[in-house]
Order: sequence, then structure tokens, then C-alpha cells
Amino acid sequence: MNTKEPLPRRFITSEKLSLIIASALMVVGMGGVVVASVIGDFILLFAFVEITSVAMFFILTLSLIPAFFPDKVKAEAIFYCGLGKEPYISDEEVYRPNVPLLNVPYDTNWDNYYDKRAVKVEG
Amino acid sequence: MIMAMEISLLPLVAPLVILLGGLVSPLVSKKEKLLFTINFVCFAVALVANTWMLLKLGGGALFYPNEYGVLVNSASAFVVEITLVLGLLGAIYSLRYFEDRNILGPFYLLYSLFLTSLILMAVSFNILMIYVAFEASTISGGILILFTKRRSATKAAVRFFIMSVIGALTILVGILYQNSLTGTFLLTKGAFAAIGAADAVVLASIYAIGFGIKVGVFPFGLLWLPSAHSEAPTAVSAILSGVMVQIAAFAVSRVIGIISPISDLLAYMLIGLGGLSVITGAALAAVEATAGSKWSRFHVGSANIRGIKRIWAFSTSSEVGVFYLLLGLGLLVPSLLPVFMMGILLHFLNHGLSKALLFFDSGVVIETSHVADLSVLRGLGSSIGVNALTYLVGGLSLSLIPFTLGYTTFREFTSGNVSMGITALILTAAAFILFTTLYSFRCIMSGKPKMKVVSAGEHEKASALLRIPGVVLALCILTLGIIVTLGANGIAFQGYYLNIEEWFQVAAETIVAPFAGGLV
Repeated sequence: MNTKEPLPRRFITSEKLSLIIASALMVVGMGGVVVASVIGDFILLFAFVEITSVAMFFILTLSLIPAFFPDKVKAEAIFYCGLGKEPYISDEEVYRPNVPLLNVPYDTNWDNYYDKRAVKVEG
Repeated sequence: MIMAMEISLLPLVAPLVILLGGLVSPLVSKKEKLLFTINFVCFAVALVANTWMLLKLGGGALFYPNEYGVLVNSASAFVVEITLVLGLLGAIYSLRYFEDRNILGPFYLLYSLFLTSLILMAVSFNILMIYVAFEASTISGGILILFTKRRSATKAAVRFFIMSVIGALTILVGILYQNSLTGTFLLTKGAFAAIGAADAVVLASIYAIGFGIKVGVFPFGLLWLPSAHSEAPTAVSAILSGVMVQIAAFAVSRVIGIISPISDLLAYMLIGLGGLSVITGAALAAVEATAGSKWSRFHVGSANIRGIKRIWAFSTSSEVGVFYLLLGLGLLVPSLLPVFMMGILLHFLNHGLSKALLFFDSGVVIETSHVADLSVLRGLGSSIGVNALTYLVGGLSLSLIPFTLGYTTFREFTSGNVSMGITALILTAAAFILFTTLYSFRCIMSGKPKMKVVSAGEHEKASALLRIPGVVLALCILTLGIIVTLGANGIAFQGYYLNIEEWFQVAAETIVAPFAGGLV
């Protein structure tokens, strides 16, 4: 199979954008914690602690894990009907994240609320 | 009997021991039986310590390190007792629940952290401590929902996180406002005595809405509760519905009860939110059972289903409304606040046991048939065994039928203290739940699939460990229900009934006061 130049990759993806926003909020929150501690304003301190903790939590659950530990799939292994044409998506773009935090594959057997290994439903 | 308030390390035993069990067990072994044994022993120790306090406390309280750290009084001990009993049953249930036994270690760790945070929410008169426990329960509870490893569970967990964070931020606004008004984070009658009526209304409203999101009252609950409670592993569903939302309701009852007397406006707002929750949740449970998620909505899956666990999740969003109704009624007539606070504790008992039972038994149905959608379910007949009866007991108790624990809630709302309109509302909701119970029971026992099922394996016998929780809870519901029904009507067990009633009267006072002898 001929190899072409890989498709240009967008620098800012939705995952990265949310990561950047959350990181910025976290930095603001942490800076605010220091400032509020110096000033001695407990209420302000508490507010910044909350901003920091929410931002960190967001980063952890929604951005960090799928952004850094994606489960990549070999596109050629899936798209075998191109008959000479190359797969119209690249390995880099096929993206199948695991269950956030648990880092295990999704269980698709129960997608329709019955175990498709044991029950077959028509339609 | 413990007199007034005493310093003691005992209030720390329950939260610390179960947390220790969850932390230590994955380090000690990966073998499932050892993991389970360590956690079982820790739950048992915590239960013994709490039961001792429950029996000895009377109108007094035990605390550590001071009155505004961890404080256990009759009301708190009662709530913790139900939490521990359901937690222990959930731990037993989970041993044979997961196909992938390798995740038992992290599961028990998060499960124990979740229960610890819920216990801490119940045993404090410090709003900061309640808030921190609230946040901890969100993190651990949200991750526990993911353990079914379904894509829909991830969506449900995200909804749960987002709504809980909104609730937490609202409570944070309330905390800061409270601090600016009173200069303290402590929940005492004295702290709120000097604040103006308007400020009290605003503060109590903020707390009612903030906690209301976690409680799951209308309209907030519908956005996250049906999906989160139905997508979670069954033991977690039982704790979410039977404990978490109720402890949030207990916390808001404590906070608003202490701020009260407030205003009729707030009372009507609580009654309105409660009433709408009660009727909407019950009606949607019936719609889910008969027509499916296409009509009941608030579904995170892609297929139209009649989800057996979704039915009971909708029912939870109905039952939590009862707490807000009782609280609102108590604010409307302050002299009756202790009566309605007693109603809150009794409803906590009834709904906690019944709903956990229904989720545990729904899990047995799913494990036996490999189906969670009533449209695909072929009647289980005798395969379900004794859990058919226990399922019925749970449903009848939620339908407020005499000789079950639900009779206590029935008595509360048919007494002269409640207007006819509210009584009619509660009885209508109970009728919806009774219909839903009987309809879903028929589907479970002898239903025919509405979808075209090409092939389905034989029904498998569920593990005995999955059956135990339902049986234990049904026995509790029936035993207590019979004592209350016969005792309250002067037929038999009057002595027992009067003792129970007297104990609940004392305990109800301690929801808003650290000890029954008076307010700090």
C-alpha cells in the first residue's frame, strides 16, 4: 500500500481546548489561594480553593485521561472494503477512549440493556 | 444511658473502620474472598459500635474532638445504622455481582470511601464538614457509577458530577453567606437567632436548592437521578437511592430546621417542590414500566427501553419529595415541626429499606435473565425464587400498604395535621407506585417479550449472595410493619409500638439539636 503524507493534525482539538481552559482556571485558582492566604481573607481563600478543586477534578476525569491514554485502533484492520483505496481515516484519528478513570474497555454487550451474548433480539 | 454530651472516640469508629477496610483490603490481597472478608469484618465492627451507641444514647450525644467535629446523637446514629446495614448488604451483594473480579479491590475502596463520606454528612453540626463530605461523596459516588463499564454509565456519571458540582457551588454560596451573617460555620440555634427574617429566608432557600440538587427533588433530580441510579452497579444503585439522597435530605432538614422559624413563603416553596417531585416521579415510574423511556424521557442509553432499574429510580425522585413536603409542613406550623421531623426519620427508614430491597431484587432479575429491559424480558416464573415475594414486599411498602413499613408514612399523611389536598397527592402517588409494582411484578413473573426475541438462554439461578439482601430487608420491613400496624391500632404489640414511638420522638428532636435536652 502506498503511503501518503499523514493528514494534517489540528493543533487545537476539543479535548485540548477543554484541558487548556481547565488548566488556566486551576492556575488562577492556585494563584488566588496564595494571594488570599497572604491577605488573610478566609472567604476568598475558600472560593479559590473551590475553583482549584473543581478545575483539577475536571482535568482528571474529562480531559487528562482520554487525552494522554487513548486506545488507538489500527484503521486498516477495520476498513478492508476500500479495494485498493487507502483507508479514508488515519490511525491517528480513530480514537476509542476507555472508561474514564478505570482505564478498562467499555462493555458493549449491554448496549441495548440485555446481554447480547445470551439473548438475541430481532430489529 | 448517656447523659447530655460526652467526649468519646466511639463516633470515629464507624467512618474510620470502614474506610480502613476499603484502603487495606486491596493492599493485603487480590483474592476476592479475602477482600470481601476484610471489608465484611470492618462493616460488622462499625455496625456493632454504632448499634451500641444507638441503644445507649437516648437524648444525649457523643462527640469528638468537640461538639462541632463528629457528633453522634440518636438521629445521627439512626441514619448511620441504616447506612451501615445497607452498606454491609451491598458489600455482600457485590462479591458475586461483577463478572470481572479484578475490579473488586478498587470497587471496595471507593465503596467504603463513599459510605464514609455519607456517614460524615450525617454526623456533624458544622456546615463546612457537611460540605466536604458532600464533595467526597460526589467524587466516590460518580466513579462508582462507572463500574458497569457501559458508555451510557459514563454519560450518567458525567451528569451526576455536573449536577453535584452545581449543587455544591450553590451550597458554597450559602456557606459564605451564612458566615457573613453569623460569623460562624456552626449550625446552632443561637448562631441564627440574631439574623433578620429576610436573610434567613434567602439563606434557607439557597441551602434548600443546593442540597435539593443532591436530594434529587423536582426539577433538578430528573436531570441526573434516573440515569445515575439505573446505570450504576446494583449495590451502588441501592446505596444511591436508599442512602445518599436520603442523607442529603436529612442534612437539609437539619440545616433548615435549625435556621427556622423562617417564613410561610419558604414553607410553600418546599411543599411545592416536594409535591411536584412526589407526583411527577411516581407518574414517570408508571410511564416507564408501561410505555418506556421514549415517553418517560431522561434516558442516557440509545435504545427505547422499559428499564427495571429506571422504574425504581423514578420512584426515588418521587419519594425524596416526601422529605421536602414534611419539612415544608413543619416550617408552616412550627409547633408541629417535631412531629414532621419524626415523619422524616420514619420515611428514611421505610424508603431506605424498601428502595434498597427493590434495587437488590431488580439486580437478581437482571442476573437471572440477562435482561434489564422489561420489553425483552421473558417471565422468570419459579426461577426467581423467594425474591419474587421480597420484591412485592418492597413495592407494597412504598405503596404505603398496612402491615408493611409504609404504613408509618401513610399514618403521617392521613393524620389531622395534614391538609386533604396533600393527603390526596400522597395517596395518588402511592396508587401509581402500587400499579407500577404489580405491573412490573407481572412482567417479571409471567411477562412475554414485546420485542421479537430470536433466542434466549435458559434462566440462570442467581447466586445465593445476591438473594440474601432482599430477604433480610423484606423480613425487616414486614416485622416492623406488623408491629407498627397492630400496635398503632391497639390490636397487639402496643408496648413495643409505644417504645418505638417514644424513641422516635426523642430522636426527632436531635435532628436539629445535638442533644434532646436543649439547644446549644
